[in-house]
Amino acid sequence: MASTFRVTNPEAPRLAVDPNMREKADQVAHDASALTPVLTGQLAASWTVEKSHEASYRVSTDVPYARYVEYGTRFMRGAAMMGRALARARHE
Amino acid sequence: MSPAAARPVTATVSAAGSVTLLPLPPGHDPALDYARPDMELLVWQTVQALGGVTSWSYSVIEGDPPGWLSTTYVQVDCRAGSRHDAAARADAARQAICALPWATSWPHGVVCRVVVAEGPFWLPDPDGAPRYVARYALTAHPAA
Repeated sequence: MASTFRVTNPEAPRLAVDPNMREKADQVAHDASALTPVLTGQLAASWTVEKSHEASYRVSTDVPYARYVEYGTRFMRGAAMMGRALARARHE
Repeated sequence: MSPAAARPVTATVSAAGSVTLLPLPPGHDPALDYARPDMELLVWQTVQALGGVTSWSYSVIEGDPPGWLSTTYVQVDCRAGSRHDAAARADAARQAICALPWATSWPHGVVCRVVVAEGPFWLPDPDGAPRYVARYALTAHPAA
């Protein structure tokens, strides 16, 4: 017996998981902030969560030196705060 | 003190070379007390021959099932005198690391899966020295 389905809202799957993705993004931002080394506190306080579209969020910072703290340089080892936060989020 | 708590599992090594064994913390699951393969060492042994490469682990996550699989996240920095040479070196490192699941000559464990988590991407040092950075997630289990 054949069944026919009509898609009324192609965005429905994304809408369904959107709250979970928001929660995950908030968790990543919180973990990244907690793992950020603190000297002035500027970088640790700068992590933000923005919604790109349904079920898609961007966790970012606008602090220019964040990349060197995250990935390190040849003069210092990186803190990998975002890498560690993402690793934790991927396995939960 | 429970038998598990009395088992020394954590070792700290002083500058003089003496080793101090510490007891397990309260609530520690003895099932998680197994010898994990040293993936950071394996990656370093794989890429060090390329020269100009540094690698370090920044996270280890217990896998599923726990007590058997673990995933190690490793960052690999490739430097050279020019951007072109650094890119070629990063590509060689990527190929070598991604081939690890098929390597059979490693006695400490089995690499099940390698995922390129990031890169390789261009990220020169603050003084402009050429560098490519990549991050890998390596899932492994101990030798049976």
